[in-house]
Parts: sequence; C-alpha cells; structure tokens
Amino acid sequence: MKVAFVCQWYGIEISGGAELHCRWIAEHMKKHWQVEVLTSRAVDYITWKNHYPEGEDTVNGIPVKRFSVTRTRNPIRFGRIQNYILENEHSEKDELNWLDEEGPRLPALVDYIKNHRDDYDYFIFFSYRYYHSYWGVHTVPQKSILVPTAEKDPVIRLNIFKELFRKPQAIIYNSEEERKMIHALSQNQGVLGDVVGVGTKIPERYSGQEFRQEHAIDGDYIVYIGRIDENKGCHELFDFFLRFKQETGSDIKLVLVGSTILKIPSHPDVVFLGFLSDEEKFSALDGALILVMPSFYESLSMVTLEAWAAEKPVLANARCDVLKGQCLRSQAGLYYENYDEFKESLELLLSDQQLRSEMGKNGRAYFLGNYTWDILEQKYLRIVEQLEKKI
Amino acid sequence: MMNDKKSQKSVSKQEKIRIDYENIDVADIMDQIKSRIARKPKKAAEKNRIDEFPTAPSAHIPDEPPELPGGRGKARRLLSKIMKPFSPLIKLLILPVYDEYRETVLILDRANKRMDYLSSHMNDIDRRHNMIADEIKEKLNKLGKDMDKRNEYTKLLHSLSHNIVVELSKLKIEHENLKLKTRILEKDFEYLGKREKALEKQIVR
Repeated sequence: MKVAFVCQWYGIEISGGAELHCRWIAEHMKKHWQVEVLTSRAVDYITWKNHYPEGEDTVNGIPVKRFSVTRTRNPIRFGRIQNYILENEHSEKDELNWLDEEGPRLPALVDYIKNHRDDYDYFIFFSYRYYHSYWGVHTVPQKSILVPTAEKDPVIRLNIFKELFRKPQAIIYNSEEERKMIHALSQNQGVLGDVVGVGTKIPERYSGQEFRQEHAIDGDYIVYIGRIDENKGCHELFDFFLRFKQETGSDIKLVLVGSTILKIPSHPDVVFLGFLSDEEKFSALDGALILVMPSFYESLSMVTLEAWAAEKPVLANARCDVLKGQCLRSQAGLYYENYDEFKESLELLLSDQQLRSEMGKNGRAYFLGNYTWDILEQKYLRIVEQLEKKI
Repeated sequence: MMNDKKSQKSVSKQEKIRIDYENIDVADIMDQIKSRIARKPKKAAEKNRIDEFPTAPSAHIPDEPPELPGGRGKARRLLSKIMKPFSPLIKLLILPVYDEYRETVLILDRANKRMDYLSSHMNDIDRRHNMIADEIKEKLNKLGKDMDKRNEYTKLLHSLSHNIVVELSKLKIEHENLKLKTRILEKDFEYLGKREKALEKQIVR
C-alpha cells in the first residue's frame, strides 16, 4: 500500500507541533506501508519562505517531495485579514482569501495530487487549517484521511472548514475533546473517525539527579517544558507562581525549558534553561515534582504525555478542554481555572508525596495503555483496513 | 523534604482533602478544592461580623463611693456643703502664699534666662541643624545613586543571562540538527560503501 503524508513543512529541524507529529507517524508507518511525504520547501511557519531545494529529498529514510511556496506570508496583512473575518460579516470568498494569505500557497502540490492520485492508495493530510489540507482534501476526497490537530481556535468556526470536515473518508483525532468539538461544529458524525494521537521517544537513560547536579538546582522544583509564549499561558504562570511564593512562603522553584519569545521574570526561584535535548528534557521531568502546563490551546500536548511516561503528575490549565479531559481520563493530574485553584492544587500536590506517586503511576499506565507506538500503529492500520472494507 | 512539611502545615490548618489513594478520583479532588475555595470568603465574612460587635463589660462599675456605715458619712457631707463657699479662703489661709509666690518667681526667672540663652544661640543651632540635614541629604543621594546603579547592573545582568540562554538555545537546536544531518550522512556513506563493495564484486566476476 502506498500512502502519502501531506504536511505544511517537513524536516529534521522540527522540534514540536503537528509537523513533528506527522514525521513520527510517517517514520513509524513506513514499517507497514510504502510511505512518501509531500510538503513545501519552507522551514518556518511565519513566512513560509522557500528554503529547501525543490524536488526530491530523503529524511530519515523517507522519500520527500518538496514544492515551491508561490507567495510568502505577510504577517501584518494576514493579521488584518484574520481580524476582519473574525469580527465582521463576511462571504466564503473572504474566507478563501484568508486561507490564501495564511499559506503556504502550494498550487504545484495540489496539481501533483490531482495528476498522481492513482499512484497512491491514500493521502493523509495534517493540520486542517492550511492551504494544502483544504485544497488537497477537495482534490482527492475519496482517498483522503485528515488529521486535523485542531485547537479551540476561533478560525475553526469558519464556514469553509465545516464543509472540509465532512469531505474526507476518515478523520484521525488527537483527543476526545477535539472529536466532540468538530462533531458539534460540522455535524460530521457520519465520517469514519478514531482518537489516536501521537507517541513519544523515551530515551533509554535519563536521571533527575544528574540533571540537578549539572544545572546546580537545589531543592524541589516544578517544571514547564515548551515554547515560552503568551499563547501558551506563560504570562499567567509567572504571575500565579510568584504570587503563590509570596503568599505561602514556599521555597519551590520553577524551571523553564524551551525557547522563549517572552521576557522571563527576574527571580532567584525562576530558572530558565533554554532548549534542551530529549534526554535532558526527560531528566528535567525526572527531577521535578510535577509538570505544569498553563497552555490555553492544545490539541494533544505531547509534553503532558511525556510527563506521564516519566511517572510525573501534571498541573494543567482547565480552560484548555483537552488538558482537563486528559487529566480526568488519566487520573494523573489536577487543573486550575483561576489563581485560587492554582494555589490550592499546587499546595496539595507539593504537600502530598503519596498523591504525586499514585498520580504518576496512573499517568504511566494511561500512557502505556493509549500512546505506545504499537497501539498507535495498530489504530492507523485499523482505520485503513475499515476504509478498504468499505470500498 | 522541607517544602512538604511547610505545605502540610497549610493543608492541615484547613479542612483536609479526602483522597482514596488506591483509586484516585481527580474530579472528586477538584470538587473538594472548589468547595473549599467557595467556603473561604464566607469564613472571612463571619469573622468580620463577629469583630463588629463590641465585647460586653464584665462587671458594673459604681459611679459613687459607697456610704460609710452609720451617721458619720452623713454629717461629713453636710459639713462640706455648708463650708463650700468659704473653701478658697480657707485654702489661702492654710497655704504658705509668700513662699510659693517666691518659688514661682524664681522658676519664671530661670525660664526667662534659658529663653534668652536659647534665643541668642538659636542661629547657631539652626546652622548646625541645617549642616546635619545637608550631610544626611548628601549621604542619601549618594546611596540612592548607588542603588540606582546596582539596579541597572542587576537589570543588565538579567538581560545578559537571558540573552545568553536564548543564544545557547539556538546553538543547541543548530547542534541537534547538525548531529542529525551527520547521522544521515553516515548512513548514506555506509550505504554507498556497501554498494561500492557490491559493484566491485560484480566487476571482479
């Protein structure tokens, strides 16, 4: 069986998000299928500027076909158009104009799909909101599988997407909450679908003790891993954490791992370590009491799954339905909607070692029961098997 | 762990959250946390309401002195009532007026002299006060400037370390990428080596 994974950008530089999700799934599914990747030449999602050479490439043993982006994105113009369509009555043409502006504009990729539709059994499109998914699904609806990786973002309510979610043969969701949201918005219950998600790569060796020694961290700490960004709720986290320290006199530290576009507050107990390798990331989790996940928008949160794989409980932002749902299903994390809940939950988790330990075990069991590669591969295979039976 | 103890205290001060460790129920824990938060402001309001009421006096304090036994108290009160108009005269007759007058004049004289002395030295004192105030001001200004400098240095150090970590992050990402690329090239090289050997074999045949 020959399957094409279609993604907005693809490469070994990717360190997170839907693109890494796509790469990992493609790399695991190549055991079962003849896999190929169709993508852009871009390397960043802000401008979509062409970077890689056009044509064929190989990434970790997978053949990749790269197509040119015909127009780079102008973030200011795009922002203006997005604000307009979100705040005003508008037509379908306006929405398609927004989609064009968002990019990456890849008419050559869409043409390729159209002309080579018979060369592939299925096309798996990642990220519903981009040009390649919208036009790709419309070009080959009979052979399309969509992995929306949708968050509770206002653009999901655009009319063009309601129709898009009813087009493909199957949809692979990241979480129950994502499925419910898309069902409610587009009434696409008739489309075959399953909640699958993505796994992670657990390093063979990692140690919290060595991590503490290497980074000279004394005492207990909680950790945040990910992009340090306002959209990820980091501003609120800093505010809540410093207030918590002031009110309780706790000597807990907050360790931040990841690249930043925010100014980190200058406080002796806020430790910023920047980007770390996978091994160090797991070591940071191993040494921490809990992982804190303040993000408002998540489609799955791979870091949360990694914390559970490392047997650590999570304190998550309840305003993100997916995170709250994951905590409730796994019984491995508490959540907060405001400062009082943050304070009470954090105090409880810090004070109760047994609770942390039991929640950690629950998290590990949840991870092993739902997110190991064997399980995920089988779910993908089962979906395709069901589609084959339908034909 | 120090923190555990600290936090344990704060939890035990309030109503403890019931947890079934063998069968953890996150929804139940969150419900308990929410209801505890909801109860908090109520308690504070009750306390304030209690504080508003003044405490009741413990015993009655009598306004008048108790009466002496028998008729002695009555006679004394009657006598003092009759003598009341003459009391200033009686006081004047009893007191040593001249001595008191002299003493008062002397005190006033001494006070006058002190006042004269103080008024003659007032300018000196003023000058001294001003000098001391100026010195203190100067020292405070110096300290303020030092503090400002230190604040600026701290800010600079913070942004410097922040930028260093950001740059290190970028380098680390670059390093990871290069490592991956090297691995890919190694694999390619290995593959080409094998192919070369295979081709050699075919040529030899």
